[in-house]
Amino acid sequence: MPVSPDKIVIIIPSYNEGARILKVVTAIKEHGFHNIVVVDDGSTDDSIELVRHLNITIIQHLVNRGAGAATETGLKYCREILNPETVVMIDADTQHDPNDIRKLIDAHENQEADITIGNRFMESRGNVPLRNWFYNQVANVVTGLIAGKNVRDSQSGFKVFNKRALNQIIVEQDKFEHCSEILIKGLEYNFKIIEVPIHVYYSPETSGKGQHFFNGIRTFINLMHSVLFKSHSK
Amino acid sequence: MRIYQVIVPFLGIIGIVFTIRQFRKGINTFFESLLWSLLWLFISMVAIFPDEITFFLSRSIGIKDHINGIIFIGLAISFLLNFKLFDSLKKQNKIITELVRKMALEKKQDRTKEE
Repeated sequence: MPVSPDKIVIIIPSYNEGARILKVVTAIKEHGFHNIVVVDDGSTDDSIELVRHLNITIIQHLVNRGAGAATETGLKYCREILNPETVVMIDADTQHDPNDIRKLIDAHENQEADITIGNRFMESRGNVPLRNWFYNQVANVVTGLIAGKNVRDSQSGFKVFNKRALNQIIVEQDKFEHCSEILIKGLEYNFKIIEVPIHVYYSPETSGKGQHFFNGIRTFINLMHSVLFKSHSK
Repeated sequence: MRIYQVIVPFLGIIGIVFTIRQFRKGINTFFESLLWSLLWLFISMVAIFPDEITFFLSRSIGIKDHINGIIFIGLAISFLLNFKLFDSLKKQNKIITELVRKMALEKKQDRTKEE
Protein backbone atom coordinates (compact mmCIF):
# COMPACT_ATOMS: atom_id res chain seq x y z
CA MET A 1 0.00 0.00 0.00
CA PRO A 2 1.51 3.36 -1.01
CA VAL A 3 2.64 5.62 1.80
CA SER A 4 0.36 8.63 2.19
CA PRO A 5 2.01 12.00 1.39
CA ASP A 6 1.22 12.94 4.99
CA LYS A 7 3.74 10.33 6.11
CA ILE A 8 6.43 11.59 3.75
CA VAL A 9 8.82 14.35 4.78
CA ILE A 10 10.98 16.26 2.31
CA ILE A 11 14.26 17.56 3.77
CA ILE A 12 15.97 20.43 1.94
CA PRO A 13 19.37 21.53 3.25
CA SER A 14 19.94 25.08 2.08
CA TYR A 15 22.78 27.57 2.15
CA ASN A 16 22.60 30.97 0.45
CA GLU A 17 20.28 29.72 -2.26
CA GLY A 18 18.56 33.05 -2.87
CA ALA A 19 15.37 32.76 -4.90
CA ARG A 20 16.15 29.17 -5.93
CA ILE A 21 14.89 27.79 -2.62
CA LEU A 22 11.51 29.46 -3.17
CA LYS A 23 11.26 27.84 -6.59
CA VAL A 24 12.13 24.39 -5.19
CA VAL A 25 9.74 24.56 -2.23
CA THR A 26 6.87 25.88 -4.37
CA ALA A 27 7.37 23.13 -6.95
CA ILE A 28 7.46 20.41 -4.27
CA LYS A 29 4.24 21.71 -2.71
CA GLU A 30 2.61 21.74 -6.14
CA HIS A 31 3.41 18.04 -6.37
CA GLY A 32 1.35 17.39 -3.26
CA PHE A 33 4.09 17.12 -0.65
CA HIS A 34 3.38 19.47 2.20
CA ASN A 35 5.63 18.13 4.96
CA ILE A 36 8.73 20.07 4.02
CA VAL A 37 11.65 20.68 6.35
CA VAL A 38 14.10 23.33 5.15
CA VAL A 39 17.34 23.32 7.11
CA ASP A 40 18.96 26.70 6.62
CA ASP A 41 22.66 26.14 7.15
CA GLY A 42 23.57 29.61 8.41
CA SER A 43 22.71 31.49 5.23
CA THR A 44 23.85 35.08 5.05
CA ASP A 45 21.34 36.00 2.36
CA ASP A 46 17.57 36.43 2.73
CA SER A 47 16.65 33.09 1.16
CA ILE A 48 14.85 31.82 4.25
CA GLU A 49 12.68 34.92 4.50
CA LEU A 50 11.41 34.14 1.00
CA VAL A 51 9.94 30.79 2.07
CA ARG A 52 8.83 31.62 5.59
CA HIS A 53 5.22 32.28 4.54
CA LEU A 54 4.85 28.89 2.81
CA ASN A 55 3.73 26.94 5.89
CA ILE A 56 6.78 24.72 6.04
CA THR A 57 9.14 23.74 8.85
CA ILE A 58 12.26 25.86 8.98
CA ILE A 59 15.24 24.94 11.13
CA GLN A 60 18.09 27.40 11.19
CA HIS A 61 21.73 26.75 11.96
CA LEU A 62 23.29 29.82 13.52
CA VAL A 63 26.47 29.30 11.50
CA ASN A 64 27.33 27.34 8.39
CA ARG A 65 28.34 23.76 9.18
CA GLY A 66 28.06 22.07 5.80
CA ALA A 67 25.55 20.09 3.76
CA GLY A 68 26.07 16.90 5.77
CA ALA A 69 25.50 18.69 9.08
CA ALA A 70 22.31 20.31 7.75
CA THR A 71 21.05 16.99 6.42
CA GLU A 72 21.62 15.29 9.77
CA THR A 73 19.78 18.13 11.53
CA GLY A 74 16.78 17.48 9.28
CA LEU A 75 17.02 13.73 9.83
CA LYS A 76 17.29 14.19 13.59
CA TYR A 77 14.19 16.38 13.58
CA CYS A 78 12.35 13.66 11.67
CA ARG A 79 13.57 10.95 14.04
CA GLU A 80 12.64 12.82 17.21
CA ILE A 81 9.59 14.87 16.25
CA LEU A 82 7.88 14.00 12.97
CA ASN A 83 8.36 10.21 12.88
CA PRO A 84 7.59 9.81 9.13
CA GLU A 85 7.42 6.56 7.15
CA THR A 86 9.54 7.96 4.33
CA VAL A 87 12.07 10.78 4.08
CA VAL A 88 13.17 12.39 0.83
CA MET A 89 16.31 14.53 0.64
CA ILE A 90 16.59 16.96 -2.24
CA ASP A 91 18.98 19.81 -3.08
CA ALA A 92 17.83 23.40 -2.70
CA ASP A 93 19.56 24.72 -5.81
CA THR A 94 16.98 23.65 -8.46
CA GLN A 95 19.41 21.00 -9.66
CA HIS A 96 16.86 18.25 -9.08
CA ASP A 97 13.47 17.97 -10.72
CA PRO A 98 10.59 17.77 -8.17
CA ASN A 99 8.76 15.69 -10.80
CA ASP A 100 11.22 12.90 -9.93
CA ILE A 101 10.15 12.76 -6.26
CA ARG A 102 7.10 10.63 -7.01
CA LYS A 103 9.18 8.41 -9.31
CA LEU A 104 11.73 7.81 -6.57
CA ILE A 105 9.09 7.13 -3.92
CA ASP A 106 7.20 4.71 -6.20
CA ALA A 107 10.35 2.74 -6.97
CA HIS A 108 11.32 2.86 -3.30
CA GLU A 109 7.97 1.41 -2.21
CA ASN A 110 7.54 -1.08 -5.06
CA GLN A 111 10.98 -2.55 -4.55
CA GLU A 112 10.79 -2.28 -0.76
CA ALA A 113 14.12 -0.48 -0.62
CA ASP A 114 15.72 0.95 2.48
CA ILE A 115 17.55 3.65 0.54
CA THR A 116 16.79 4.91 -2.94
CA ILE A 117 19.37 7.03 -4.74
CA GLY A 118 18.48 9.41 -7.55
CA ASN A 119 21.14 8.55 -10.09
CA ARG A 120 22.27 11.32 -12.48
CA PHE A 121 24.40 9.07 -14.64
CA MET A 122 22.29 5.95 -15.01
CA GLU A 123 21.22 6.59 -18.56
CA SER A 124 23.91 8.93 -19.83
CA ARG A 125 25.98 11.91 -18.68
CA GLY A 126 23.02 14.04 -19.76
CA ASN A 127 23.62 17.72 -19.11
CA VAL A 128 26.04 17.18 -16.23
CA PRO A 129 29.05 19.47 -16.86
CA LEU A 130 32.27 17.62 -17.63
CA ARG A 131 34.03 18.90 -14.50
CA ASN A 132 31.18 17.75 -12.26
CA TRP A 133 31.05 14.43 -14.10
CA PHE A 134 34.79 13.93 -13.61
CA TYR A 135 34.74 14.70 -9.86
CA ASN A 136 31.74 12.44 -9.43
CA GLN A 137 33.45 9.57 -11.22
CA VAL A 138 36.51 9.93 -8.97
CA ALA A 139 34.23 10.00 -5.91
CA ASN A 140 32.42 6.92 -7.21
CA VAL A 141 35.68 4.99 -7.55
CA VAL A 142 36.83 5.97 -4.04
CA THR A 143 33.43 5.23 -2.48
CA GLY A 144 33.19 1.98 -4.41
CA LEU A 145 36.61 0.86 -3.18
CA ILE A 146 35.67 1.65 0.41
CA ALA A 147 32.20 0.15 0.19
CA GLY A 148 33.39 -2.88 -1.78
CA LYS A 149 30.67 -2.41 -4.32
CA ASN A 150 30.31 -0.70 -7.65
CA VAL A 151 28.75 2.72 -7.04
CA ARG A 152 27.38 4.80 -9.89
CA ASP A 153 26.39 8.06 -8.24
CA SER A 154 27.87 8.32 -4.78
CA GLN A 155 27.43 12.10 -4.56
CA SER A 156 23.74 12.40 -5.34
CA GLY A 157 21.86 14.56 -2.86
CA PHE A 158 18.50 13.22 -4.06
CA LYS A 159 17.67 10.24 -1.83
CA VAL A 160 14.82 8.43 -0.16
CA PHE A 161 15.06 6.75 3.24
CA ASN A 162 12.56 4.41 4.79
CA LYS A 163 12.06 4.39 8.55
CA ARG A 164 14.78 1.80 9.10
CA ALA A 165 17.38 3.86 7.25
CA LEU A 166 16.20 7.03 8.97
CA ASN A 167 16.63 5.50 12.41
CA GLN A 168 19.92 3.72 11.79
CA ILE A 169 21.93 6.05 9.60
CA ILE A 170 23.36 8.89 11.63
CA VAL A 171 25.25 11.27 9.34
CA GLU A 172 28.54 12.19 10.98
CA GLN A 173 30.33 13.94 8.13
CA ASP A 174 29.58 17.65 8.00
CA LYS A 175 30.50 18.43 4.40
CA PHE A 176 29.84 16.87 1.01
CA GLU A 177 31.34 13.50 1.95
CA HIS A 178 28.11 12.70 3.81
CA CYS A 179 26.69 11.34 0.52
CA SER A 180 29.38 8.66 0.37
CA GLU A 181 29.03 8.08 4.11
CA ILE A 182 25.34 7.27 3.72
CA LEU A 183 26.06 4.75 0.98
CA ILE A 184 28.92 3.12 2.86
CA LYS A 185 26.88 2.81 6.05
CA GLY A 186 23.86 1.57 4.14
CA LEU A 187 25.91 -1.17 2.51
CA GLU A 188 27.52 -2.03 5.81
CA TYR A 189 24.09 -2.41 7.43
CA ASN A 190 23.02 -4.62 4.51
CA PHE A 191 20.29 -2.21 3.52
CA LYS A 192 18.57 -2.67 0.20
CA ILE A 193 19.85 0.23 -1.89
CA ILE A 194 18.35 0.91 -5.29
CA GLU A 195 19.03 3.54 -7.92
CA VAL A 196 16.53 5.40 -10.05
CA PRO A 197 17.50 7.63 -12.99
CA ILE A 198 16.75 11.31 -12.41
CA HIS A 199 16.96 14.53 -14.37
CA VAL A 200 19.38 17.24 -13.30
CA TYR A 201 19.67 20.85 -14.35
CA TYR A 202 22.91 22.70 -13.85
CA SER A 203 23.11 26.46 -13.93
CA PRO A 204 26.35 28.47 -13.91
CA GLU A 205 25.66 29.38 -10.25
CA THR A 206 25.11 25.83 -9.08
CA SER A 207 27.47 23.73 -11.18
CA GLY A 208 30.55 24.81 -9.22
CA LYS A 209 29.12 24.03 -5.78
CA GLY A 210 31.44 21.68 -3.95
CA GLN A 211 33.31 20.89 -7.13
CA HIS A 212 36.77 22.27 -6.46
CA PHE A 213 40.06 20.44 -6.45
CA PHE A 214 40.81 21.21 -2.79
CA ASN A 215 37.25 20.36 -1.82
CA GLY A 216 37.85 17.04 -3.52
CA ILE A 217 41.03 16.45 -1.54
CA ARG A 218 39.28 17.38 1.71
CA THR A 219 36.36 15.16 0.84
CA PHE A 220 38.76 12.32 0.11
CA ILE A 221 40.58 12.73 3.42
CA ASN A 222 37.35 12.97 5.39
CA LEU A 223 35.95 10.04 3.51
CA MET A 224 38.98 8.00 4.46
CA HIS A 225 38.17 8.82 8.08
CA SER A 226 34.73 7.47 7.58
CA VAL A 227 36.10 4.20 6.18
CA LEU A 228 36.44 2.82 9.65
CA PHE A 229 33.87 4.75 11.61
CA LYS A 230 34.51 4.77 15.26
CA SER A 231 30.92 5.31 16.31
CA HIS A 232 28.37 3.54 14.15
CA SER A 233 24.95 4.14 15.52
CA LYS A 234 22.91 1.08 14.75
CA MET B 1 75.12 5.56 18.42
CA ARG B 2 74.26 9.24 18.62
CA ILE B 3 71.94 10.85 21.14
CA TYR B 4 69.32 11.73 18.57
CA GLN B 5 69.12 8.02 17.67
CA VAL B 6 67.75 7.48 21.16
CA ILE B 7 65.69 10.64 21.52
CA VAL B 8 63.83 10.40 18.21
CA PRO B 9 62.73 6.74 18.51
CA PHE B 10 61.78 7.50 22.12
CA LEU B 11 59.57 10.38 20.91
CA GLY B 12 58.30 8.02 18.22
CA ILE B 13 57.26 5.44 20.81
CA ILE B 14 55.51 8.15 22.84
CA GLY B 15 53.75 9.27 19.69
CA ILE B 16 52.61 5.74 18.79
CA VAL B 17 51.44 5.01 22.35
CA PHE B 18 49.57 8.32 22.38
CA THR B 19 48.04 7.49 18.98
CA ILE B 20 46.87 4.07 20.17
CA ARG B 21 45.39 5.61 23.32
CA GLN B 22 43.49 8.19 21.26
CA PHE B 23 42.16 5.39 19.03
CA ARG B 24 41.07 3.29 22.00
CA LYS B 25 39.30 6.29 23.50
CA GLY B 26 37.45 6.67 20.20
CA ILE B 27 38.91 10.10 19.49
CA ASN B 28 40.73 9.08 16.30
CA THR B 29 39.56 6.82 13.53
CA PHE B 30 41.52 3.72 12.59
CA PHE B 31 42.79 5.43 9.45
CA GLU B 32 44.07 8.48 11.33
CA SER B 33 45.75 6.28 13.91
CA LEU B 34 47.36 4.15 11.21
CA LEU B 35 48.60 7.24 9.37
CA TRP B 36 50.13 8.82 12.47
CA SER B 37 51.66 5.54 13.65
CA LEU B 38 53.30 5.05 10.25
CA LEU B 39 54.67 8.59 10.34
CA TRP B 40 56.13 8.06 13.81
CA LEU B 41 57.57 4.74 12.72
CA PHE B 42 59.14 6.30 9.65
CA ILE B 43 60.78 9.10 11.65
CA SER B 44 62.09 6.59 14.18
CA MET B 45 63.47 4.35 11.43
CA VAL B 46 65.23 7.30 9.82
CA ALA B 47 66.83 8.15 13.17
CA ILE B 48 67.95 4.56 13.74
CA PHE B 49 69.23 4.01 10.20
CA PRO B 50 70.09 7.56 9.17
CA ASP B 51 72.68 6.79 6.53
CA GLU B 52 70.79 4.13 4.62
CA ILE B 53 67.56 6.10 4.52
CA THR B 54 68.96 9.62 4.26
CA PHE B 55 71.41 8.68 1.52
CA PHE B 56 68.56 7.12 -0.38
CA LEU B 57 66.44 10.21 0.23
CA SER B 58 69.28 12.62 -0.51
CA ARG B 59 70.00 10.78 -3.75
CA SER B 60 66.31 10.97 -4.56
CA ILE B 61 65.65 14.59 -3.65
CA GLY B 62 69.15 16.12 -3.65
CA ILE B 63 69.78 16.99 0.04
CA LYS B 64 73.38 16.26 1.06
CA ASP B 65 73.85 17.74 4.53
CA HIS B 66 74.33 15.74 7.72
CA ILE B 67 72.47 17.76 10.25
CA ASN B 68 69.89 15.04 10.19
CA GLY B 69 69.69 14.67 13.95
CA ILE B 70 68.45 18.20 14.56
CA ILE B 71 66.14 18.04 11.58
CA PHE B 72 64.58 14.78 12.73
CA ILE B 73 64.12 15.91 16.32
CA GLY B 74 62.54 19.08 14.96
CA LEU B 75 60.36 17.04 12.65
CA ALA B 76 59.31 14.72 15.44
CA ILE B 77 58.29 17.61 17.71
CA SER B 78 56.58 19.29 14.81
CA PHE B 79 54.59 16.14 14.03
CA LEU B 80 53.62 15.80 17.67
CA LEU B 81 52.33 19.37 17.77
CA ASN B 82 50.53 18.94 14.45
CA PHE B 83 48.96 15.77 15.71
CA LYS B 84 47.64 17.52 18.79
CA LEU B 85 46.32 20.39 16.69
CA PHE B 86 44.66 18.02 14.24
CA ASP B 87 42.99 16.19 17.11
CA SER B 88 41.79 19.37 18.75
CA LEU B 89 40.42 20.73 15.49
CA LYS B 90 38.45 17.58 14.78
CA LYS B 91 37.01 17.49 18.27
CA GLN B 92 36.13 21.18 18.18
CA ASN B 93 34.43 20.84 14.81
CA LYS B 94 32.30 17.98 16.03
CA ILE B 95 31.36 19.84 19.19
CA ILE B 96 30.46 23.01 17.25
CA THR B 97 28.24 21.07 14.83
CA GLU B 98 26.47 19.30 17.70
CA LEU B 99 26.00 22.60 19.51
CA VAL B 100 24.67 24.39 16.41
CA ARG B 101 22.28 21.48 15.76
CA LYS B 102 21.05 21.38 19.35
CA MET B 103 20.41 25.13 19.38
CA ALA B 104 18.62 25.00 16.03
CA LEU B 105 16.33 22.17 17.13
CA GLU B 106 15.60 23.72 20.53
CA LYS B 107 14.77 27.06 18.91
CA LYS B 108 12.47 25.28 16.48
CA GLN B 109 10.66 23.49 19.31
CA ASP B 110 10.31 26.72 21.29
CA ARG B 111 8.75 28.41 18.27
CA THR B 112 6.40 25.48 17.76
CA LYS B 113 5.24 25.78 21.40
CA GLU B 114 4.67 29.51 20.99
CA GLU B 115 2.51 28.89 17.92
